Amino acid sequence: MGSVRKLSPDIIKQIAAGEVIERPASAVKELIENAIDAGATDIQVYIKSGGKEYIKVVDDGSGILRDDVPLIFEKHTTSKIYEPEDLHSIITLGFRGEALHAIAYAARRVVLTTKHADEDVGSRAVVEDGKLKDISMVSRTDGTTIEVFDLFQRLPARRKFLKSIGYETRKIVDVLFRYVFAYPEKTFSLYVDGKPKIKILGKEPKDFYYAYTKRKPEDVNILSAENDANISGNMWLFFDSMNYQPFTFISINGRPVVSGSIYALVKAIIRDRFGAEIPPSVVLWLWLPPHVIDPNIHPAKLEVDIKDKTLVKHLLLSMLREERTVSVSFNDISYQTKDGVKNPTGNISNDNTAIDGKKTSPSRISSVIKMFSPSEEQKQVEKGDYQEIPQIIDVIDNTFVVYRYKGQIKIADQHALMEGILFSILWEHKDKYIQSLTIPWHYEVRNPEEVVEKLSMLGFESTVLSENTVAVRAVPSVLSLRIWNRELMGQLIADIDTSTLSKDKIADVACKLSIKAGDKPSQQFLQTLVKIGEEYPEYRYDPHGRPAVIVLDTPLLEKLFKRK
Amino acid sequence: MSTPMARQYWKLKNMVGDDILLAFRLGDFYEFFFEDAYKVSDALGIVLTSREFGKGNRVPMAGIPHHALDSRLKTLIDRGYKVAICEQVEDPKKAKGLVQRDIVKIYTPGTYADDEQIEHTWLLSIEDRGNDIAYYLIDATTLDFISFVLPVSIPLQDIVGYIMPYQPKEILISSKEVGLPLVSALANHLKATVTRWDEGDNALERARSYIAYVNRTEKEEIVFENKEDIDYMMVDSSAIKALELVINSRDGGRSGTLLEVLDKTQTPMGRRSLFHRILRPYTNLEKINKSLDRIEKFINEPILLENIHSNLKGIKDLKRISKKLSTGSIKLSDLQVLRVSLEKVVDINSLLENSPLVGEWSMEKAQTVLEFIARYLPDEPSEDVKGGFIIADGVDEEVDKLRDFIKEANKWLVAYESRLRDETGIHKLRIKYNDAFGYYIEVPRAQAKKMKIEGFIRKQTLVNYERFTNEKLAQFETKIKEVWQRLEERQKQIYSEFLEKLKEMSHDIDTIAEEIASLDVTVSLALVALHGGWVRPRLGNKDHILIRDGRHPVVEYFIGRENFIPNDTYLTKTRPLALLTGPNMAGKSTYLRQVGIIVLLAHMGSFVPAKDASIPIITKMFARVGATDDIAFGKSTFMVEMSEVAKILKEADGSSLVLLDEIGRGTSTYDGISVAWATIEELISRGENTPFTIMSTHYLELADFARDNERIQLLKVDVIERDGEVVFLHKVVSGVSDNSYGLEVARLAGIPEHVIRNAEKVFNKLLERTETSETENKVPKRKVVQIKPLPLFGDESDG
Repeated sequence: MGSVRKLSPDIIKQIAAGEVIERPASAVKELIENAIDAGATDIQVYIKSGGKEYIKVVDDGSGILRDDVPLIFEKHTTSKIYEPEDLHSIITLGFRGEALHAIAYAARRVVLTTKHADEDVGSRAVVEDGKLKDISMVSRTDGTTIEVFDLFQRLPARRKFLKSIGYETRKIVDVLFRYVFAYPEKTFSLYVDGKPKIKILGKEPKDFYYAYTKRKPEDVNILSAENDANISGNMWLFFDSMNYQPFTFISINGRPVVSGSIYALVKAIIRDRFGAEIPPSVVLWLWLPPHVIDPNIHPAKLEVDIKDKTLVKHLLLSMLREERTVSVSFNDISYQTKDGVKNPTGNISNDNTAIDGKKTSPSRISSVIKMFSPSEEQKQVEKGDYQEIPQIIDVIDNTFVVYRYKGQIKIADQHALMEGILFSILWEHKDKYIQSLTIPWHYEVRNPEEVVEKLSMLGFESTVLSENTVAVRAVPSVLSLRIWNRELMGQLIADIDTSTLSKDKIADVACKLSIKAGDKPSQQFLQTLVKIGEEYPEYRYDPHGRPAVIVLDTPLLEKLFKRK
Repeated sequence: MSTPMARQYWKLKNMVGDDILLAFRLGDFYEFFFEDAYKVSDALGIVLTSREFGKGNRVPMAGIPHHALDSRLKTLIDRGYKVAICEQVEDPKKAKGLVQRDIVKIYTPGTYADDEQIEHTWLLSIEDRGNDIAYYLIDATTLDFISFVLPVSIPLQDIVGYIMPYQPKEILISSKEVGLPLVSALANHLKATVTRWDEGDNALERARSYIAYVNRTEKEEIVFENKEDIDYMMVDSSAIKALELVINSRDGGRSGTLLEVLDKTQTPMGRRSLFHRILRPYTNLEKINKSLDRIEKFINEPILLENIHSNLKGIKDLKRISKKLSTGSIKLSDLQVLRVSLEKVVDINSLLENSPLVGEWSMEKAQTVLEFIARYLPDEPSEDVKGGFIIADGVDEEVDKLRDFIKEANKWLVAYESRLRDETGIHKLRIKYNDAFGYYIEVPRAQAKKMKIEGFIRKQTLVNYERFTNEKLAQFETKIKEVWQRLEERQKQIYSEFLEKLKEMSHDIDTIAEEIASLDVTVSLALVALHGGWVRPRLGNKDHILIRDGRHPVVEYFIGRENFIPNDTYLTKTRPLALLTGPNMAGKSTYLRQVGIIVLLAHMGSFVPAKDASIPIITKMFARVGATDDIAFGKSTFMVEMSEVAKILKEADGSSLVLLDEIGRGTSTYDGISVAWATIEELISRGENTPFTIMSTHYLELADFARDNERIQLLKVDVIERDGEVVFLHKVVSGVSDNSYGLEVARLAGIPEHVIRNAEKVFNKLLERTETSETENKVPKRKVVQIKPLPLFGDESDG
């Protein structure tokens, strides 16, 4: 006898809330994850009294639609009588929405303001005593802000278990740094009792090291590698002989990993390679396909077990074996000189960086410019001249691109321009620099060794992977990935696989690979094309020597209007 | 009958007069007598007592201990008193009869700054020159000065407006200016003391001689430094107030001002320099770009920026110390501060040498001065010259010899003590020294019998000990006291030689102070730009103001950047005037202010809170935003506004920026509209000389008149009305507002519901009456809706 007594829904809620949100740091973690899921690039966290009294998370992500606001405070499961088994599922599901519901339930008061990019006004919702009180319109910028007042006021049992303000604050700082190092391209900041505690002001690895340790590293290695099992990784190594507490941050598939056997593996490998004296600090990003990971997800922690450790081990070893360090940037473009001088920085740029200057800040603009031109020829951004970027005015017949640059109106034949650029790069090697691909491109070919040699004559770096595969590792740097991509590369390879290289052949290939008259590529594509044409005027002639860009200056116009 | 002391007192007291309190040094106290005593007792809350003064007279007296002088002084000065400090100028022990006393310094509200004070203390010296009046603001402790010359015709509130940001504490006038109404108006507004001083041909000379007088130095020692740039943007007095640049409109304090938001300076010199930069922005393109270049370089080196910022913290007020040095009032503690500060300067210099900012600031002299000081002063000198260790070893042969002698003498003493122990068999025998007895031999009482040997003279008996001396010891004492004396004299000599030489370096110290100030300001602006995501403005175009996604830096600081809606601004020579309509509380004033502030920041050589900004060189800025009328001056709102408009019509030109909020209010509707429209027409008729102008108004008729005018841009603040709810979007867009939501705001403010209902009825009736008019702008019939209160008030939200 004695059937299992059903727990009352309230108590279950309480337990579930307490399980999902153990301490302020868990609430902060969940809110940060929400922000990341919303696509935020700037996330600010404010806390008072270790988060026990107040937590605010501000993000510039996509925001929440007015109609969705009530839903996000509710559980994802429907309201029904809870069986103990349901309790289990509440804990293990770890859905984003669960967390917000739990927080709203546990806290005295929660205020959410948000604005979705598609709506013209924002919404403000207040939850008090666990119930949604009010939703009103509010004016604010796109994004979401959540304020949590007195987090565990409604769960006295949980509140008793909290430790000192100092302890809880430290835990939150730890959470922040885990995300800082997992997403270096995003901007995180933490304010404790009104004062900035974490604020990374630069975008280079050394700035991150400084933010964490308040020290400058003696040396920074930036490494990457890829395995044929589709595993790849990037690593930062910081050498600092006076830092007696080197740190290790690991993230897998974009999510920070707090503990697990991966740490032991990494530490062992580092120790072997660099000795046990004062090993370097490590930041590691791993991308592993699902079959390699055995997720054991607890809502509060992320523990990941790796089924096949040897694969990862090999990957790490190959990363560390690199003779030259390779600069890594987080949107697939990096930068290396052919004669082996290492690029001291790995410039990290925001995913949303665009050439027209949207969503950039002063330091980010300079890193964008650095990426598109070799440093010696870096053009100075002219002060006072606000048209240093070519502005496309219109495209005639999907063929001729009309643009303005430095006070002049020019017209480019999009096919001829691209043809000219490709031809100059491939045949005439006008480019001295090459860029490495973070993840190399693989192609099936008939004669891999020959292809590798031919590619090298054209300015590409590649290796033989197997008897019928090559991997392209680096491309000429001007071939920015906005006008060059995996498909075009494949077509090029297919074309040269079985034929000899000659000027005519290359001219032919350049013509075939270029966009045609009448094609409608994206604005960014055209923008890049035109920009390359302006930065390297010598590229603007097609293989036959005809110009691809004309200037609508007064003499020409006078001629056209038959004035002279 | 009077005593010598009484005579001495009265002589000194007559020198300073009734207006100045005399602090008379008597022993360890500074005493005040007679009337002074009552005033001081009241002001400081100390006990009023009495003393015999002259034969048979008891007079009122109040005193403060000498070590409490600094803090008490500050309280008295704050109350507006002037205090003359009278010290004993000779050693009391050596004095024959009455100790000589003299007044060493006079402290007045306009010339005194205590050690902790960072900001300027200004003395305002005024000169009536017939057609105009000259105003000189002088900081007596740094010797910076600023001048204005304003015509006599200018309204009183304008004068106050110009002077107010500086908040001078004392006004210096000659007999010519006595009775000028502006003097009492200024004194009242600023709560400043008025001092009459006639010595000197003009206001600046008068200030000079006055400062020399209070410092008890020669006039020649006072050399002013002109803090002015030849070219700076004229920001008119209402603009300074309206934009809340350095004082806020609530209580005249610093909170909520642009200065507060920009101020991350770490040194007093930097803070003062930032203050000046805000009030006097550059108009020289080169200077502006130089500042922007430096900030840009710092932004690209965030770790360096942070390092320099924290290093700046250790640098104290080099400017004031340098002035103390030249006027001879520098203390030993000041020298220590100087030394530590210079060490920090050297550190900063080496950080900069290894960075892209090498050579921007020249601070190499710091090394020289530092070495000089380090050579003379020991690392840890005694508190004062009497302490014996003022000059370092190795500086002077004689000092070194004397010190060696003392070392040897002490060794001898130890050896002698040892010998005596052996000789007398008293192991606990000690040779000690105190000020009262000099050197003596001390033995425990119990064993004193053994001292009955020749030559030992008992000097003192204590409970447990007996003290003796003997001839050898006496000789030793005489000799060593001679040596101490000589050492002290010699050190004093060297010290003053050292100070003389250091005085010659005071110009170098001044230069270092200036460079540090400039660096501090640059670092401060760079930090603000970096933390706030500000961009570099592009200056120098000839014909437009373009701001993309501009934000008001102070408002966004307080409400959070995510809650601040950014707005664009675009004014050109072909379309120089924008007319902004819309309800109050919807962001009109903030918009006007942010345009002014962004333009000002750009001219300061600072980055700006916007996505992009292209700004021409503006030489004059006029702003009248918010209700800043001074009824106290006896003028009505409309009158004040008309004077403003008159000034603008007279002085604004093609390189001016004019910001006018709620033009035409304060009088009847038709009058207001007419004057407003005529003003607009006049301005836009000036072609190239039309200033860039933004005007806000709630007169929709103006928008009507402006509709077809190509030179006028129509803007409104966007509002959303939905389901009976109204939200101000704070977004400025093209168009004309159709509702001022006055009734909604009235309800929000608490006007009773039935009154609002009635207002609604009246409104609709009025509407019917004007429906027959031909205005295109149809104001719709009204049903008063609900405005949700801004969540910022009465909420727990942070900030």
